[in-house]
Amino acid sequence: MLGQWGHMGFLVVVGLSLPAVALVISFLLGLVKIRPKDPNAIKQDTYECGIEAEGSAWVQFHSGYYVFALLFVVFDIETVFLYPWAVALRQEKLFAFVDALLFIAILGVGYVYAWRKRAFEWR
Amino acid sequence: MQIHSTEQVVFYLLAVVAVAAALGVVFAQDIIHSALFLVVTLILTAGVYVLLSAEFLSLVQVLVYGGGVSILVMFAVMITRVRDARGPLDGAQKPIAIVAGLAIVTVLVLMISRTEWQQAIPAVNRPDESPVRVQRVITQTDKGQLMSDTDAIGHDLFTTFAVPFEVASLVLLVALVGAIYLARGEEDEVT
Repeated sequence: MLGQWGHMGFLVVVGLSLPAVALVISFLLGLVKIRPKDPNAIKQDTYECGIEAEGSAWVQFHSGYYVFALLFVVFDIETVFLYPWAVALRQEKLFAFVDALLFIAILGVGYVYAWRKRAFEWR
Repeated sequence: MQIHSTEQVVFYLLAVVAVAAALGVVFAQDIIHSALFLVVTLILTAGVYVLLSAEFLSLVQVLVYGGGVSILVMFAVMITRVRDARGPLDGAQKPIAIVAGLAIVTVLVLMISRTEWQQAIPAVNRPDESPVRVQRVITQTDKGQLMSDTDAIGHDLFTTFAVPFEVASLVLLVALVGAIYLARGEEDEVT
């Protein structure tokens, strides 16, 4: 049963081990003094370039961001319905296609509403 | 506890990390770390669903819990005064919480130990006398071919449940409009 998911699991394992292996090798090379360790203020900056970070990251963000989260969740749930549609589409009749178009159109109304209400704009 | 197959190895790996992350949710000092541990637990649960051959359920788990719920939790943490919530998060209600937690564990353990679990799924070989009829419907097409549960759900969604499917989109529309109305108010419309 693991067949097709085994490949995915393999990719996950490789993806997780790549950064881990890099860190471990760096640490080991540091132990045997092959990797130089010569820190200075610029090297230890959080970002290589861009604006310098200022203040604490523990700030209260504007509640306006919550709209984006809610919009995301609604279209996230839409994906839940569209996924079995996409998988089953090849074996279904034209009806399934029209049915899903209607589904998308109804949510499209919501999208237009959000657009007209300027929910996508930042104020 | 014997190890029989690769699936069991994978299951125990997933289970150990998921439980560890769940403990992380409870014991992390920093509420953001708690939230991140929660995401790990939720996504690993999707892995357990894959092992149970519940492919669609696992996708829903990733989309709804790994995506939607964790985004909402993260945003809730972001826009509230998280600074006040640093440090140990327990308080005077700790004894009550322990009792409630133990009660839930007892109920779950009783439920799991008393359920008659189905052995393997010979759904296709065993036609109608199968105790769980849904199983057969879900794993077989009309021509008797094997199909994934996602296929089967897609098929049912556009035959038997076409109307509820459309109603679902209306429900989502109402949720969307309601959310925007509450968050943005009525006043500013583009003219």
